[in-house]
Amino acid sequence: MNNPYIPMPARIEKITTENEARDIKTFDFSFVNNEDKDGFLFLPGQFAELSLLGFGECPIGIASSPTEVGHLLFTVKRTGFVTKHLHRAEVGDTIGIRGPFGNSYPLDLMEGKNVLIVGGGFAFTTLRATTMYMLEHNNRGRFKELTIVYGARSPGELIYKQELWDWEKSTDLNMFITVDKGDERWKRREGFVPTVLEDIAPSSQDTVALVCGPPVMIKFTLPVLQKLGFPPERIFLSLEMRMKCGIGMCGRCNIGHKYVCVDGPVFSCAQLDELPQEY
Amino acid sequence: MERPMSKECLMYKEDFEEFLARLIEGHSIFCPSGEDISPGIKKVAGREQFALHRGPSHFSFKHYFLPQTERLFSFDMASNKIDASNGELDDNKLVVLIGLRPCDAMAIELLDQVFLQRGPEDVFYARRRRRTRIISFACSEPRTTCFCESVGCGPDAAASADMVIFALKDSYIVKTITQCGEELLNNTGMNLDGVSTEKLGEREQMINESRDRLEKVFTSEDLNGKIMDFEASYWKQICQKCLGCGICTYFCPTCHCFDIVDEVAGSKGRRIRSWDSCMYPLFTLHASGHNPRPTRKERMRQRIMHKFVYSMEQYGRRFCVGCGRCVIHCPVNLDLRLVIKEIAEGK
Amino acid sequence: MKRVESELITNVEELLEDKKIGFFMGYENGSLPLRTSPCFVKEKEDVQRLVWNCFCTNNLSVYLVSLIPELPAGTKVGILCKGCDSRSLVNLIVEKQLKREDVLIMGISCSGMINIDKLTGNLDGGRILEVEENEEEVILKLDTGEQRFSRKDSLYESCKNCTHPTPSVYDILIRVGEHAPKSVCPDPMIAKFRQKERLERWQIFERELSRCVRCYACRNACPNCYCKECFAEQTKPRWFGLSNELSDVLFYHLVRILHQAGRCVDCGACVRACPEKVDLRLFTRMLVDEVKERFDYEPGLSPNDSHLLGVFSTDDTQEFMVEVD
Repeated sequence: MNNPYIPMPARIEKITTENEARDIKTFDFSFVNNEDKDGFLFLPGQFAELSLLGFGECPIGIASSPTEVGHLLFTVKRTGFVTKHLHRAEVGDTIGIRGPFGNSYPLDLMEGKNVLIVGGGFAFTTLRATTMYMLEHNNRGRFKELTIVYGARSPGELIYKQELWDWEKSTDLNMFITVDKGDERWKRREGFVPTVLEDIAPSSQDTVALVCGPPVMIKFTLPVLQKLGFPPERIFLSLEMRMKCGIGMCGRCNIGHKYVCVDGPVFSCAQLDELPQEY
Repeated sequence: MERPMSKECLMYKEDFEEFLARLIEGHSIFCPSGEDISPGIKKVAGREQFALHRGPSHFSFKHYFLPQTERLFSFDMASNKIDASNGELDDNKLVVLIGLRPCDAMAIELLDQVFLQRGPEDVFYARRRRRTRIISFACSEPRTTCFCESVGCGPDAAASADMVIFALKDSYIVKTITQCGEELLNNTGMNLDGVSTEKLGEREQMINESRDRLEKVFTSEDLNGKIMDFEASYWKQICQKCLGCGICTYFCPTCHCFDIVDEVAGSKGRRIRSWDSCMYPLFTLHASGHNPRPTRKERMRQRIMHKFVYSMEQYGRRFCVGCGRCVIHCPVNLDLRLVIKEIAEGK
Repeated sequence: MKRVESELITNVEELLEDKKIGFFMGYENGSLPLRTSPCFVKEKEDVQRLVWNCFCTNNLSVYLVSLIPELPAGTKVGILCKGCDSRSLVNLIVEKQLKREDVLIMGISCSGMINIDKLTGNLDGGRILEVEENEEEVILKLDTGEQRFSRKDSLYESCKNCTHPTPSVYDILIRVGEHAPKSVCPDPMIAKFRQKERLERWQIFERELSRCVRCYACRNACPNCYCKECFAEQTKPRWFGLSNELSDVLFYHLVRILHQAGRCVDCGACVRACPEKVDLRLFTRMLVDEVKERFDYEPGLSPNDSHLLGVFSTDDTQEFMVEVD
């Protein structure tokens, strides 16, 4: 019988510092054991527990798409005890991964529809995974128009910068990048994500919206989406909660009768309307 | 699941002693008392050591299936090696728990939902559970804090028991519930008679008297329908006296929340899980400082709604067996039964 | 007792009516025999729920620090205080957690609280139908007959050796009678404990604390434990492990108890809250006696006191820094 608490060893192959504040890093992992690599089947939106022996575990969204063969990315902000120590890790170090856990973004529902992605700051990680998944050339035809609105506080706080610039040039999607406040070198859009979204006013017709960002961004984005005509069944959010086990046993990440670790982290607004406002 | 097997036979006092003696010969037997392998669990090495409690024992058998602190694995940070071996779990020898009350047996059925049936199995719980046989004792003398009937349990409930024993005045009726229970009985090689109508009558009377003695502060009807409202104003009122300690959760036979942490000495360490309580502020505190349940009101609402509302949607069961331990031990006598009554009356 | 109860009820009714208080904390009958429960009264019609008897064990001061900010500004809180409870309250004033003008102290001269376990130990399944108490005895009327208990012998240890049964600070005082227990300091039981060999003391310490389930009821029942974030729950850094193994349990209790020096009033709330009946008083009362002996200080007797650990005097004894055998 498998012990579900044992992490699979994974080596850090690459570390990218994503922002100016240097508190967001992307780690690219490879599993030490082939059977772990083959068994780690996931979809965009899922998360895993990153484990540092002696320090503990933290739940982190998977930032890469399963289509990015040979890469397994996690973008981690230095926030608590475990993430602080993870930031001290170096290329070649081995840490542990448990997962994948939770549900994914609703790929079935998105298929054949337009997709609007709204992201803010550091919380763009699983949205990146979703974007990469849809842009993969075998998959691109399964989805109609793809529009991304992504913003951060300042130019230095945008993550995945090179990819953002590439996407901006691509004809495969409509990319809108914004910062709350630019600097002298910033030539692009300025303004809060919800405001920009309102300006662009993408059609809600036949469109699924995926939203992930800081609470304040979500708070102001949802009314805009509503105004644009998105029904709550077609707006999806990815939630965060304090988690430990990741498998629905330790009991702390519930919102009403749903466990974020197994029933989430992705919920539609319609689902959330049915649940207590306790997150 | 096992095919249900129900068979009843009669034991006189000396038969029961013999039965105990033969059980002890072939198995590890534990009863709810003392603290041999974990708090509240005593190894019955001789038949004279078996003791029954009036009503539920001080601790439930949760301590056995989900110890307060459990090592998930050990590790060495220098070599990155993990050692998950666990001698206690590898031992597959049958363990017989005898003497727990129907409420505590039913609690095990509820824990099964969490640790065996919902998703991946919890290896620690599963190993202990599978090697365990349960012989419960019907309740003839409930305590003033007992309310099992109000939550769908009862003095003769058989949930998760392999065998239920009814202790009558000078004899015992042994009822096997599962095939395992029947095997257990057969293996003792006892030659037992069936139960006379007279004895069945004595049992009925005992259970009826027991039912009559049960407090009915609220009834199962009070729990039907949509009784608890997350937004209701009564939560603020209800939590007012609560001190915010973890007694009600730690003594509850169905509360099962845990935390996972690493402990290190030098380069060696272990990852453990330890009971946690939704009554503690740290339980839901995010690393960012945000806490979705910042005050006692939210935490108490979570505890009660989890037991009576959320669990219904998660498992189709209420996570309360009416053992009354939370009522007995609450330092401010904040009585769960009254809380439910107040909620049902919409106060 | 009936006289005391009616005096209490009349007082509270008047105070609420005259708007001298907006909220009152006392006791009501509990859901179980021999138990009371804290009773929070806002409306006049609830005043009749208030009771007074020898089972009013909770130290209600524990609620004040979190309760007062939640009430409408300017609400004065009336609180029923036994001697020990009043000292906890006064200590909160000394520690600047509470303003004297925010509370109306209804003192009650206490003749000691009865340890329920001493009464229910030998009931043999009998159900308690009625309870009576007089100056000498507590009488339980059971469905199986009557049982009488000597009041003196059934008191909680902290009550047996209470030094201040009557509040020294109050706005209104209800006198129960002059049969208050004799004050003894130092506590004879503790004195005996101190005479034991170090190893034996350690074994007792271990034996008591090994029962701890870490429910934190001792902390949460203690009026002195008002920290917004307890060291036991800090994670940056985490000061000690989460397990219920002895080393972690010891660490928790040692730190909590040491923080009680010069503050503990020996109300016994921690002992009474403990579901495992760990005798925490062995440790806290030792501190109380130590503080009394060395600094001639008893906390909670005057709101104008300086906090023991907040003042330094050149003639403070200091040899305890290194224990000399």
